[in-house]
Amino acid sequence: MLSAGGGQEVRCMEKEKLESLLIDYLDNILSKEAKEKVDGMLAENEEARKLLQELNVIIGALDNSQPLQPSASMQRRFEESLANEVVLERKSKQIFRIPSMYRVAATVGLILVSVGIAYWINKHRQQADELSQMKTEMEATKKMLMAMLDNMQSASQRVQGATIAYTIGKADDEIVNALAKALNEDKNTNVRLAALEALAKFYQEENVRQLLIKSLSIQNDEVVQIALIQVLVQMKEKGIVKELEKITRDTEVLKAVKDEAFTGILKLS
Amino acid sequence: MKTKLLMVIGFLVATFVNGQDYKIAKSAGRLEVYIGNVEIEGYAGNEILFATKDHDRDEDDRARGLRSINSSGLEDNTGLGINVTTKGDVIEVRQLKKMNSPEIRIKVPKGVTVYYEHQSQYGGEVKFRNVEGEIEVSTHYNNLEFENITGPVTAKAIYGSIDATFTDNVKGPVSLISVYGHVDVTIPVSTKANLKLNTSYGEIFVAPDFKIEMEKQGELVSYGDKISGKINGGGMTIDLGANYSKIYLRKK
Amino acid sequence: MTDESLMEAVKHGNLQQVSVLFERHHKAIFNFLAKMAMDRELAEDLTQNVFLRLIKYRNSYQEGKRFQSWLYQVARNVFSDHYQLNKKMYSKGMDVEKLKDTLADTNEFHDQTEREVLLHQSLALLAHEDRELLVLTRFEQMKYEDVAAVMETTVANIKVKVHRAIGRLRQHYFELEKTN
Repeated sequence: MLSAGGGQEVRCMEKEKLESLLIDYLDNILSKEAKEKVDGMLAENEEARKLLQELNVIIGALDNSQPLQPSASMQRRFEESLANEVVLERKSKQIFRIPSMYRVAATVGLILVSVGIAYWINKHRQQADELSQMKTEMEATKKMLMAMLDNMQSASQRVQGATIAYTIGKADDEIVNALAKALNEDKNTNVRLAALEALAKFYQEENVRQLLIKSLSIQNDEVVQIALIQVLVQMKEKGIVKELEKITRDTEVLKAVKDEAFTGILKLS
Repeated sequence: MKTKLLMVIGFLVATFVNGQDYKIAKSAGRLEVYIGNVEIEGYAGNEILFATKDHDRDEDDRARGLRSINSSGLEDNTGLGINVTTKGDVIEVRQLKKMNSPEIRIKVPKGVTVYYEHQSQYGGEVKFRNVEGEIEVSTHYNNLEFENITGPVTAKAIYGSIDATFTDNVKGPVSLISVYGHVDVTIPVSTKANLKLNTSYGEIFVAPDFKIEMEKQGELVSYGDKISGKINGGGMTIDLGANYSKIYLRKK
Repeated sequence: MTDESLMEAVKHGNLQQVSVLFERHHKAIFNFLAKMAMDRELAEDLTQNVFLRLIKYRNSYQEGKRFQSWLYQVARNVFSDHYQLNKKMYSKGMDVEKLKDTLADTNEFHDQTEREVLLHQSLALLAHEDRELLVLTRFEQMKYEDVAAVMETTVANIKVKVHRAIGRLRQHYFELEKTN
């Protein structure tokens, strides 16, 4: 029994050695003598010939496998993330001035988080730990979203910035002010709407409430006016009835906005 | 009769070859378009190409040897009835006539961001096809059609409708809003997104293949119809809004 | 400019140079990750991650070290992080039947020979250490020396392992062929 088992093992070892030799043979890296030796063995050993043939198929398949082509947009997406990195790097240099140790620490922190965010934006397979890392580094997230809201080259980046603001639990004055600025001044309607949505989430904060009320009188984008009236009506903000009446009398205003104002007056009174 | 026809065809071919086209060598940057009738198509090249959609622009004998110029000082520097100006990375395209916009077809390389803005009611359908760069649109009257685009895209229309179909590889955010027109969007079933569908007085229709994980609404009571939730576990932002009309979300 | 001097520039704050490195190496890294993860779309995400990590960990790049080795080390880490996080998904075993759908895109699908499908299926059955070695040495056509540098081991060791991996691949391949 023992010897039989041992014999098998030896044969197994031998087979592995043989296989290895044949791979080198196929890879054409054996010396001339070694090659001739293998040739001789192949001529008389049927099993070795079969093994060689199988290996030839495998190695042929491996070596002839066509490289895959990444999609055309991959490079562009990377360039975008990289551009973000570069902007952040520059920003972080401007933001942190004084103690250099802090500056380094903060920069590193910012990069860690921004890498997380760039990934997050680009893709959705994001991992839970990157998210929690983001949460613990609120400060840097804030800088990040402010930078995005400030990205004049790309409306979708600004929308995304406002959307990130929507997902954070608490907004400080700086974020609220940046969102209010986007709500009233951004030249893109969709950005304004995303900012409104984010602000509306914090409607219980008195300053946010005031900002929204104030926006109604200065808002000059029809689509946002409608959404803003809806939000204020949902907040049961009776203080806006006067402003709504003014809107219904304004001849310049889009009919849909007037209709919304009438509806609002009806619901609030 | 036959020879006459041939001559006409010959003439058309000649004008087509002779300068009905205009191009700029640019494979990145931002194209800003301010004309009423336009079709913008993405392609794998490194020039922005301009052409008229129809090749029968009226020839004005009296205008021969003269340049077309308008009140804002724009001149037709393309021979197509539009003015194209390059300012650094930004290429601006404007029409000369206030009312009648020529029908223009523009081909853009994949790396170009497209911005479209048109307030006037004199315009037609605006089409975007196969565009892989970011698209930003703001219009009052034009109907918008996006065909086989990737996103990101932000678009608003007041009176116009929005129709959009996306490629298999959608890139967020997607934000499409119309006040009076419908918004009809087709995306792959597997799209991972945080979805917001919002109408005040219209209706929302969604293909049953999308399993929407509804998000818990805040304390605010919502009037109208507002759906927000995740599909396929969530991911990119997709906002669709049609205040007075219908929203359709279809599967590809 | 060599890869090494570009990476040194990145290390000294010239982040934009990563763009050149991406240009030069993203296809190879994409192929490596696609064959490791057996998922094209995922591989695109992971490839992005690899190059963003170059920035994140740029200070850990040892000047003078071969860039390619370092790049593949980062790529391996990215893949193994992903793998650790998604172990459950993988522990069920990859669905061999679905592989051709995820790896081949529509254009390439028609060209994909039966042999290639069989090859991908048998690769999927390998332990991922084995698969990694084969992808690096055969698909990416890296020299044993270079692979040894990435894995921080000896050339002899790599060679033995690669040969064993080919042996195991051969077994899977012909077993699958029989059952098909």
